[in-house]
Amino acid sequence: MDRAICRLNNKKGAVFILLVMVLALLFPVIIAGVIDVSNLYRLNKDLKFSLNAATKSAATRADWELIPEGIFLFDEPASSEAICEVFNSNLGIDPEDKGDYYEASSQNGRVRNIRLYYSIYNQRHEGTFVSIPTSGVPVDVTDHDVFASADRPTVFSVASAEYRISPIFGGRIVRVTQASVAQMNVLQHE
Amino acid sequence: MIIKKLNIKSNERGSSTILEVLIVMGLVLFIIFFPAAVFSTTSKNLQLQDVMTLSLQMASIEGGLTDRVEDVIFDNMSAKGLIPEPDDPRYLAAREAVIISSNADARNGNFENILARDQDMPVINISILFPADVEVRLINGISRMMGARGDSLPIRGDGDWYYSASGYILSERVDY
Repeated sequence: MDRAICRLNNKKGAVFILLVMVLALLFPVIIAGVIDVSNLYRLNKDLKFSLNAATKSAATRADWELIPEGIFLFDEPASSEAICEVFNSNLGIDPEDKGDYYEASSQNGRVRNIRLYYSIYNQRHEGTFVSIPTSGVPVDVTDHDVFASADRPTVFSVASAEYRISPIFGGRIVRVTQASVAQMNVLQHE
Repeated sequence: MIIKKLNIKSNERGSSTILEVLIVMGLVLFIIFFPAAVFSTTSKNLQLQDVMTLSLQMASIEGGLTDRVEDVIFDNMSAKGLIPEPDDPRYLAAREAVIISSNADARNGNFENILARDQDMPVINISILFPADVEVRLINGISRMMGARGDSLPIRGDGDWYYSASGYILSERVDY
């Protein structure tokens, strides 16, 4: 110890000891930073991909009994089942029904709560647009004002996930949000 | 060289300086390369995820994993630099090392496995495994540089470690 203090007092060699100390302190910061940035980027991409696949899948669920009459609308229960099934399978979660939205909670990992909200608009009035969802997205899912314009059957969905950043950076919770929309388009023959 | 070093070590002045330089060099290399290796691994996995996302959308339209979807997967891998270009002599070997599987595998004319949208819940799953031996060797090398004995992540031959990407989507194919 006395030797080390002597070294610090001595101009020769003190730089190396200081450099080692600085690097030893910097290393956990760099590693934690790389891991947090990578995890957040990956979570963002996973959430977007899962939501897109789920929304698109829900929009394929047409009501086949109405199609012979020339009416193209969603089979709402099948669309709801599809969006939940595909979203949960892609993220490997088993969420609970919270009324307005679905929530998968975990207190162990870095990703805390994954929430899914969706709205199925099942009317067709081409050219006259309405904003969906009419009641807004629950604030538990996102506090952003997210909406879409629809004039035909449309599936609108929003998902959010909470990520706890490394304790070395304060350990606060960051919320990642993604939205997706898919419509049922029909080619009109005149 | 070692004797020379020992001579220097026995000399009070300057002996520890060489050791300090060696230690600092090792630390600096580790601190620079380990995060780079971790980031490289994550980045490659994300690229594979992108390839899987694109292929899954095409599989949704085709109703499963067809030969065309498989070709598009390899084209996308070449475009992203994960495997060599098709005119490269290493292309076929690289292609064989990638494992692609699906619950709706319609490759080689197995069209009975195709799923159509009017079925009850036609969920298509595609999974891609891509060899990660290069990155594992890099991490092992860096760990050994810091004094680890043997391989931290063991390689027991070709293709022990894989990047994995998989996804689910509903079929859009209309069965006329």
